[in-house]
Amino acid sequence: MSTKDDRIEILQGTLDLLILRTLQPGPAHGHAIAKTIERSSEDVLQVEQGSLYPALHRLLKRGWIAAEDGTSENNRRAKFYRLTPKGRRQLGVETGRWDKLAGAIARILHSRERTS
Amino acid sequence: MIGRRPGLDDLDREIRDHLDAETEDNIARGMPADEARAAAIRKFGNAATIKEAVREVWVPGWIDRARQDARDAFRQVRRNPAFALTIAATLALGIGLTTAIYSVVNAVLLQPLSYPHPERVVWLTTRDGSGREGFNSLDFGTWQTGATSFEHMVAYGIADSTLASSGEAIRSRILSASTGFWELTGATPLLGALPPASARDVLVLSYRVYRDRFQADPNVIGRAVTINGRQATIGAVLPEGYAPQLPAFVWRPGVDRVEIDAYRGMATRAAPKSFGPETSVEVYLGIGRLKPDVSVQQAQAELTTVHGRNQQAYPEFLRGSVAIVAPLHEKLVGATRTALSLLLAAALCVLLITVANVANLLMSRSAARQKEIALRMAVGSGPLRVVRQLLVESLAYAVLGGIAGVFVASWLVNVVIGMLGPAVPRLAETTLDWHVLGFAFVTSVVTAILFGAAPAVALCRTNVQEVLKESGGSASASRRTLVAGRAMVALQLALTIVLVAGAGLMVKSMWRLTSHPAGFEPEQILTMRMDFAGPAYRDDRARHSLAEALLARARLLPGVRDAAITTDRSSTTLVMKEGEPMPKDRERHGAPISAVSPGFGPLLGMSLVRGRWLAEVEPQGAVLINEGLARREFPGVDPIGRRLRMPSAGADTFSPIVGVVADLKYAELDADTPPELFVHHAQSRLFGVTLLMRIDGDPVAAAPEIRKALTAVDPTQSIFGVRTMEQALAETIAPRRFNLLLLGTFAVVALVLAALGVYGVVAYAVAERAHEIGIRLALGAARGGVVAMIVRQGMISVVAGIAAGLLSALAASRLIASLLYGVEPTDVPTFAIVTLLLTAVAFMACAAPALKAAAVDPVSALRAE
Repeated sequence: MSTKDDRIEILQGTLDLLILRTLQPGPAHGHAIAKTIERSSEDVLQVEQGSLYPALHRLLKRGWIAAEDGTSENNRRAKFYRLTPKGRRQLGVETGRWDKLAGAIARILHSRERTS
Repeated sequence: MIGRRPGLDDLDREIRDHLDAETEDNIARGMPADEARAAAIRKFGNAATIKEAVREVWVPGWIDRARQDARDAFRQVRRNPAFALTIAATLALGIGLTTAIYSVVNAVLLQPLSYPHPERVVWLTTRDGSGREGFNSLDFGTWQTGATSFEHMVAYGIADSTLASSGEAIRSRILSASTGFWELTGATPLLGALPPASARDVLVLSYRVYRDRFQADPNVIGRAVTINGRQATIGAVLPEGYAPQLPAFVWRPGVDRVEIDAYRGMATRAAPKSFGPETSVEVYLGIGRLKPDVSVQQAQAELTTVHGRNQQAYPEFLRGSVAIVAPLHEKLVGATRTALSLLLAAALCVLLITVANVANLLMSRSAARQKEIALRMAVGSGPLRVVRQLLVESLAYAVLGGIAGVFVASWLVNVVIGMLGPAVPRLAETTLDWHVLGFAFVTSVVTAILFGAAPAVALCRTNVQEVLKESGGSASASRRTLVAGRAMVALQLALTIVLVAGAGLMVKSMWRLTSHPAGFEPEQILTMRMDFAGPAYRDDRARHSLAEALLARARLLPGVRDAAITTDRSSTTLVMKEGEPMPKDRERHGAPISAVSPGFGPLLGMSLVRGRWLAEVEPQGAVLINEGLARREFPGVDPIGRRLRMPSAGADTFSPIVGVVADLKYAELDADTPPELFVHHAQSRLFGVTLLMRIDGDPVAAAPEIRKALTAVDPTQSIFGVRTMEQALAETIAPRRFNLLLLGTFAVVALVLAALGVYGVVAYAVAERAHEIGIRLALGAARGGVVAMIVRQGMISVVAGIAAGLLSALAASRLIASLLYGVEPTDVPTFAIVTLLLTAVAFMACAAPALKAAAVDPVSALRAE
């Protein structure tokens, strides 16, 4: 587990992208999505778990994900979220945009300082 | 969007499941059960905030917040219903008066006329040097052939005729119109078919006459009637809403009933072959519709050219007249624009006074709410949120006030139409339509912002710490409230004095108009009119004997002290003096002439200046003239014994002047008495007479019996226009009474509101200082001194407001100059009285709370803290 200082708060838009990515392999319920994000980022990304829900509803409203009832691993009724075709396309777009942004920021940060 | 709202309902369950799952995970990692739960909750965050955030994804936040504010506002209203009621009632008054005037402005000035293509409908006339309007068949004929700007050009005349059907004769107002009238006014018949203009003997009934006189009988078409004894048939009935707006009569300006009872065709007569000063030509009124792409200016230019050619062809006859094309709407209501605009401005002044009053009320109470507000701000409500909430509260009051105001407006409009319906053209069309309701709504919202803003801002500047620390509220905040309150009071008084001064000037005008010379008692004189119609009265002798019979019968009726007949200035004549050449100029040498029975002058209470009255029999003929005519025709000469001939009045021989009477306003109150002549009725042709009866007791109560008795003299003739001379005179100044009634109402309301405003602010100041006053009294201050101190402080803003108001009123009074009569807009006595009145009222409003404060027991005042 990372120490508190190593954790990074995530921005709203970023959280949307992470949710879409998490749902790419298949449908998942809320708690599972939260856990997946934490685990895959090796606990660096700190999601206040509750903030997941407004984000899920934002995505529902945009039609990028859909919700359906299902049964969780411990046989409980739960709401499962899955990517819609529109969401899948959006994930592609967002991922591309993110790579570009990250690349650009990395280039700026790692470029050698110019001597004047 | 709202439809696709999955999961919002089972969000609670989802969150619970999430927390359970997390708790289980934590336990699996080895945490104790209770700690696992707490950690899960900590990791999840504030569930309430998150639920709120989810809701906000679907429901825009402002709707939620507005709902919350509205709930708070109505809670405030419910908590203090008396206070809310006071505010709503005050607002209802202000919004109601303003809405009422706006609804009149809307109906009269803003709504288009009920014609098809109303924007292209114009009024056609000629106007001569003395401002007389109308045109003759010669004009109309050349216009029709010469002018190309018009789609329709219609000449019409309106005459009161006796319409008889199955033995019953009624007085009816019949409009005769040339071709195109139905198309121009957009008429479609309810029954029958509209006749062509050439069918003079086919009558088209208005719906009102059809319903009231023919009992809405569907078989009325084809029924025979007589119009002034002439045979006619009913050809069509018009639908209920059909009422083309037409200008009042040329010869009876201002007030008259312009409702038409029936319509018929009219063939415009061919122009007479030759013209002379005695040629009589029919005078028409005209309306037209312009072609779609023609402007009023183009039509005017064209008609001026055509009319000019006409004048060159007949220079003697048409000299000095110009043709006029004007938008009909403007012709109908143009004269009322000044008065209505001023009344709307006055109503807005009342509204502002109302707003100031309500702002004051809210501010004095907001002082009491400081604690609540400070607390709200201390727990994190931003100042914006507090302002918003106070404004929503104001809006709640305004909406209540606005709804009540619409009822006030509807009531007021009904009262005004009932009292003075004909005083303003189109006034009867006033309704509370969507325009008016929209106006009331916008007015309510704007007033809410105005009266809500002041206390809201004052409260937001509240120093939270200071207020919460102190027990009685912040002294500096209440001082600010007091200063703002005093400014409001000054504003109210300034506006009030403007309104009261305007009303005062109008009252004085009215007093000038309606003060009669001693001896003239129009309230005791009953008048009624009969026009002699039908074949039986084609002969002049028959008409004279009917007139004599009516007079003789009237004299014998109980309650009638005296009776007289007059033709009531029915014609204008040239005045020819014996031994002098025939005057040419109708303007300078014409005068209205009335044929009267000898008792006419004494009955009215005219005073004889020289000579004698007319005698019962005047074998040589005799003329009475008034002082105006004596001055004009016989300057510096004694007119008695001079002989006159009046060619147009059927008096073809010279008759001596036997007497001169003082000018008397017995027909029109707001016009100067014209130079006029009276001749013995036996000397003149009579086409109808007005009977004047001096009544002992109440003329209105006696009228029905008298009318019945006189109808019995000849039941085929209808008696109409039954009213006292006072009523008839009042009608001539009905527009002025309309203005005075409304402005007077506004002034009284303003005065009461301003007095309440002064009282409220002084009472608030006294309440704030109850403690201090108690100390002063306890230390031995004289009660009189305390009262004087409070009144003095209150009167500072009063005097400032009155001074500012006087200056504004002096500047504004010039605007109402055209609505005054016989009074200068800066009339000093009026302004002095108004200032005294306002000062006195304000003084009393200051003194009442001061006396109350000084009367308290100092001990209890000190204990109250």
